[in-house]
Amino acid sequence: MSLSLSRPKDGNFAALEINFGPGISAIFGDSGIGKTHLLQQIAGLRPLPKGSQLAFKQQVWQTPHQNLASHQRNVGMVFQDSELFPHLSVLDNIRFAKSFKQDCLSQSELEALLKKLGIMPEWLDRHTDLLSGGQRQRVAIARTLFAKPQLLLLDEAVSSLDKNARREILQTVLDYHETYQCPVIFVTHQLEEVAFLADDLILLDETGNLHRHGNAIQLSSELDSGLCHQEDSGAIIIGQYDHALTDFQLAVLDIAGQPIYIPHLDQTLGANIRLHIAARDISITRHKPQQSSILNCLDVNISGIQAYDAFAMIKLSFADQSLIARITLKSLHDLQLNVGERVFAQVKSIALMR
Amino acid sequence: MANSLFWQTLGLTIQLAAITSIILLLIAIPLAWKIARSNARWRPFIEALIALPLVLPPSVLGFYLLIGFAPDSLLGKLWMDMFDQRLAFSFEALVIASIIYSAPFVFQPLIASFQHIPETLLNAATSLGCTRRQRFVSVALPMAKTSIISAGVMGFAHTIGEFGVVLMIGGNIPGETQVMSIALYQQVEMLNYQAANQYALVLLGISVLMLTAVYSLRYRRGSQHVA
Repeated sequence: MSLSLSRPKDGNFAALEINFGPGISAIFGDSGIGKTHLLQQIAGLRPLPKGSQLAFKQQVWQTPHQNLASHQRNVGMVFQDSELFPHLSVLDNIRFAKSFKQDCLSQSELEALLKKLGIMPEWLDRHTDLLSGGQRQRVAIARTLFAKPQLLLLDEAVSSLDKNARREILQTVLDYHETYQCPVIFVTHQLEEVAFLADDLILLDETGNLHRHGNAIQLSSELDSGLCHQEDSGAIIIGQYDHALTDFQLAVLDIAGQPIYIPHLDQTLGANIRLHIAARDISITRHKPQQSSILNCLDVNISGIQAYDAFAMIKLSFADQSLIARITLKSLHDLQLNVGERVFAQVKSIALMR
Repeated sequence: MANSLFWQTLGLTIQLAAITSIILLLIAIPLAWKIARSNARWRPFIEALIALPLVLPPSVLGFYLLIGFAPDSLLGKLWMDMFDQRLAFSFEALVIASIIYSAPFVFQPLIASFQHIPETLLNAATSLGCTRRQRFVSVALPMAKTSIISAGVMGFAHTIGEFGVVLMIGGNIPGETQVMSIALYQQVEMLNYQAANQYALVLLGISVLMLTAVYSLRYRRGSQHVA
């Protein structure tokens, strides 16, 4: 456990009790239910209502009797709109914390960070208003990580960026988390970010109440989590890099004894690879297809069926992992699918996360 | 053509304007910050008080100050006890009056500028380890730099242009309370148009110079981030 929060009802926002894990937690939910509000309260930028308790590891941040000032919490926060200081150059923005905090990144660590984030040396003495949105957010991340926070909060920090910027920033966050064992809490409404980054997933319902809190991989394939009804919903699965098929520039992963083919990988053999398979990219057949151009076909058991609108979400389990497939109600009816039956899942496309 | 009285008056006027705008900036910068960040119920009242000299006839302000500075008034007595000299018709009285009279010209641009600094930007500074004071010094002040300079210049220019209040409380003592605008008026009364023209031209020149400075500040690169 890293951060524990207990908050009574707060104006329009629901009461919350959350014990965050030491890893990366994603808070997922509709807009307007107080996700940003909650992050600001954790950071101490907004007061918690009376009767709240907030503690980080052994450190008490807020009780009815005491309140640790925001600047003493050593929480790094990255905002949706960069919030770069317009009166400072890019480099002065990044090094802003230097004047206020003893323990910041060293010069060599900073250089490595800038390189990882793709911040070019020629940007450094520029004015921040000459940067694009993606560049600004890279600078904002660098500024926050330079201050070496003990807890990192991201408020939809990459949601509005293009895929490359998103991936590079998320990878940097992941590396920082792993190097400094820094817990991360991020707010998002994009499943892709959850699939890439999250260890734990906190689902808030439309009134802001805590709906589910658990392992992101498990929750991603649960039919009652509420995640299934997203357009890009899908399950996260973990495979082990088994061998490369160099002739075809493919990598073969092993998932509980079954092979999964993905494009060439830049990883060492044996590494755990995290994948996201969208529900709409899976089709179900009763018999193992012969002579199909689709490479990936998994032998699975139906472990759940949930209908909504014209669709049915099918949970497909094999060993300790699960997929979800979205098929039409008509297909469900025509195939006469039932829980417990063995079927084959044809996977049309797989997104490599990390 | 200019004589020593002219130079003395010009010097005194500039001295008054400089002292007034410096004191005003020292008072107004922290106070404007407080006002700009406050949602308190007293805020409109305070802002109205500061703006009062904009709408009040200078003679009204001058009249109350005249009474307030009188040797038998509370302030007058207190001043006498503290500094052993009269307040009425002194240079110090002019400074106090000018501070009140020019306040809106210094306060208003500062409040507007501080108000334009987004809360989230200050939050960002806090999350990077800043105390409230540090974020004022390291974020708010540099961001408002242009406005602070132009507030100072406006305060200076407006004090130089002061007439009604000084007429009421100054006493027109050369070298102590006689400023340019009053001297001009006096020359006109004596039908001394050539000397009057000297004062008028210099006042006009200073005003044009100051206002040009204020407006050119607005178009300087890097000052766009604060209105």
